[in-house]
Amino acid sequence: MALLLKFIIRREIGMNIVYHCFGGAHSSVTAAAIHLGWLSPNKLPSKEDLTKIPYFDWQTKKDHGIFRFMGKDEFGNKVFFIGRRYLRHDFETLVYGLAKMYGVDSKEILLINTMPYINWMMILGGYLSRRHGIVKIGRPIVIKGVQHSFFRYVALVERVKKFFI
Amino acid sequence: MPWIEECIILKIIYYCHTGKYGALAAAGLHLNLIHENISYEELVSFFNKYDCPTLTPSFIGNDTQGVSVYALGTLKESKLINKIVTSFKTTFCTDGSPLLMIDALPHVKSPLNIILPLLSLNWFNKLGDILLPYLVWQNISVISSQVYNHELDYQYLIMDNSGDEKGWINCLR
Repeated sequence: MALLLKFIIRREIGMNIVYHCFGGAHSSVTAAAIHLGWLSPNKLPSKEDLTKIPYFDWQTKKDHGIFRFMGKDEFGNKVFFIGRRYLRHDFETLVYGLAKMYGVDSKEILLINTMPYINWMMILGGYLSRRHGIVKIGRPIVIKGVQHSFFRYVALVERVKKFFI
Repeated sequence: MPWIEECIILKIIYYCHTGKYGALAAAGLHLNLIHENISYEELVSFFNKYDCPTLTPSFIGNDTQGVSVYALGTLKESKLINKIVTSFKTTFCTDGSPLLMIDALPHVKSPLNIILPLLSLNWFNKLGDILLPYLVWQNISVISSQVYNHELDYQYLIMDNSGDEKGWINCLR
């Protein structure tokens, strides 16, 4: 009964789902957009579809380390993304440590690493566009890269929704 | 001055990029668990008392004003971690308790400067655990002044409107 009540309360309050990657500009933003239904999971997004996503190819070094709220999903969960540079697993250790410190239930925060689906085009394009500000060359390359890995991100989001929410 | 009530610092996190040693020393100095003239052996025994895993904020104690003091050790990206901690607080915490993040070692003397970049290399960790307590001990005065400076800041912020002009000037500075 208590477990059921806890489940119902969690469904009512909602979880915080955080997609994280190196710079918080492409892979985590794309995954968050798929999660929120802003990109159709059945259709390869066009250049316009991707550039319309808020924060896509937007963050630079000064924005790293900031949790950005993207929206609420159909279950009432808040969806965030963040750029955490080289921290990887250390990022998860830090966030769950902070949750403990502040008395936040760590089950309310779900951290999803989107880095495994990054390809060389996203790295090169992202490096040119975000690191050096060469948007004209970098953005088309990164868009190609996102399109290449798009259905992998769809599968990731589907797994998140199926198993964790 | 109603705003002054809202400025009360309830949590202080000392962080460093020495794994744990700088942050632990700063927290110890803040709580008067250690003092600036501590011997090397005493400092090592103080470090050994606390299990402070890297990147996990560890509660060290409460000071006389009820402020919770934490130590957070990092090996790299300490500025980024500062941003993540601050952003986490504003995004996920609803209690509204203020937080002060203090870099325990903003300016270090050599050879700590040379050693620290090597800490991100895994093979260096064991050697680092031997060298770092000594190097932190050599920099204890730097850490102490950092703790003292920030303590002054927050003392002025939490004091009531007692008409202490010097305090208000420092607070506004």
